[in-house]
Amino acid sequence: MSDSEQKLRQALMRIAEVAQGAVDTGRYTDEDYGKPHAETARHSHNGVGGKNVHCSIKQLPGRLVEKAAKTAMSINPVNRISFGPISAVARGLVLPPAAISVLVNKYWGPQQRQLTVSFLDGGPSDLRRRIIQHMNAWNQTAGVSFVETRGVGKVRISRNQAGYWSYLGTDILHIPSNRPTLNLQGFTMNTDDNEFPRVVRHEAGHTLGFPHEHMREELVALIDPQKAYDFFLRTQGWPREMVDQQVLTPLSQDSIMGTPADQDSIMCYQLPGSITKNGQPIRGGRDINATDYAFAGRIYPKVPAEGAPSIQAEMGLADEWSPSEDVEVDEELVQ
Amino acid sequence: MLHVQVGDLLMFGASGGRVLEGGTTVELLGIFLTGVLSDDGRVLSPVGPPTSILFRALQSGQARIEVIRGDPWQAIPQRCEVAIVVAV
Repeated sequence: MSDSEQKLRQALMRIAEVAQGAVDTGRYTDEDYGKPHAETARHSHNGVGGKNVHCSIKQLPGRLVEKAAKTAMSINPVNRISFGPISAVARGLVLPPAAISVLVNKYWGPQQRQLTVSFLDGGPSDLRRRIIQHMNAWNQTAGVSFVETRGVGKVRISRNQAGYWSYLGTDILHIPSNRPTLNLQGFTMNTDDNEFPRVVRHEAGHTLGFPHEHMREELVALIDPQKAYDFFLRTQGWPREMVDQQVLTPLSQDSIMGTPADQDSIMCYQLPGSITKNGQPIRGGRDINATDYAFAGRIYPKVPAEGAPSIQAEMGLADEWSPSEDVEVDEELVQ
Repeated sequence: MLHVQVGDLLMFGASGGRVLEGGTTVELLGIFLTGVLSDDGRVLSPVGPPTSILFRALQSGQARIEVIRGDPWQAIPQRCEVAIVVAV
């Protein structure tokens, strides 16, 4: 590992410490830095009678941390830590539990939720209803639904800007309220029936935080870069950098949907055989398929929040026990 | 036909484009994906193909550009040629 990578890792660890300190105490001071995590946590929770008294997180013994992380990822791929652009450096790095709290992604979380939808350019009620019906196709398995509001929705749809696009997952909460979060260029009731499931459900998938499936490493590997550069220069006038961004840069393994790469997923675009190495097109999904439904239901479960076990209520400080008491997780249970 | 002046910027809502003729009169500045500055200081871009193309009028003369819209992945792109006259 180079010096710069080592420094970056140290910086990451420092950030994680700062964030954990802020989470535990509502503030962070440099005095906390450098202390062992457990000491910091105990210090921060000793404020009996203070304003910030709250439950604390029980920690596994250190020897089980990595094992527990693997189990968590097996049960729910969303639990994989996402490092974004620094993933190459961070890959292989085993972070202490405190670090997880600072690494966020665009996932809405497992609680059932309703996302309000508004239409910035109005449109007839039958069209608005039809669009929302297609967005709610995900609700067949996922505990997320979309509902129109007369006010300013969390999801704001426009039809008069160029292209089909959506901001990803919780990013929509950071978009100025007068701007769209999802665009369906030119959609009307006269739009081809097949385009509603293909486009509206696809863009709603982005709103749920699902990235493009054709950017998976396994599918990008099928593409001949030079053919892709030539094709998109000819058809769109795109420079190489745009082709790299749109087609040839695979998603970080740390931030992707957890199913095997699926070119029939609704989140996969169709790509022509003329740009692949073997001449076979990447088919692309035209509707939410069984794998999509299963995955959506897995990360956005429909279990009522009140029915879910309350982990928070049982949290405390780190427990310790003899290694001989460690429990072996049955791998079949996490498949 | 569009009449513009030297230094004018032309932005189209489109997924792609190019200068067909008159490259010394009009240049393609770039093909962009629109982004916004979020309330927490990050620049966020939507997931999807480019949404804007930007041309600049460099000097007086005539040029012809092509603006490409539609879904780059699926449908046959909609192409529109635009003649441009640049005056000083």
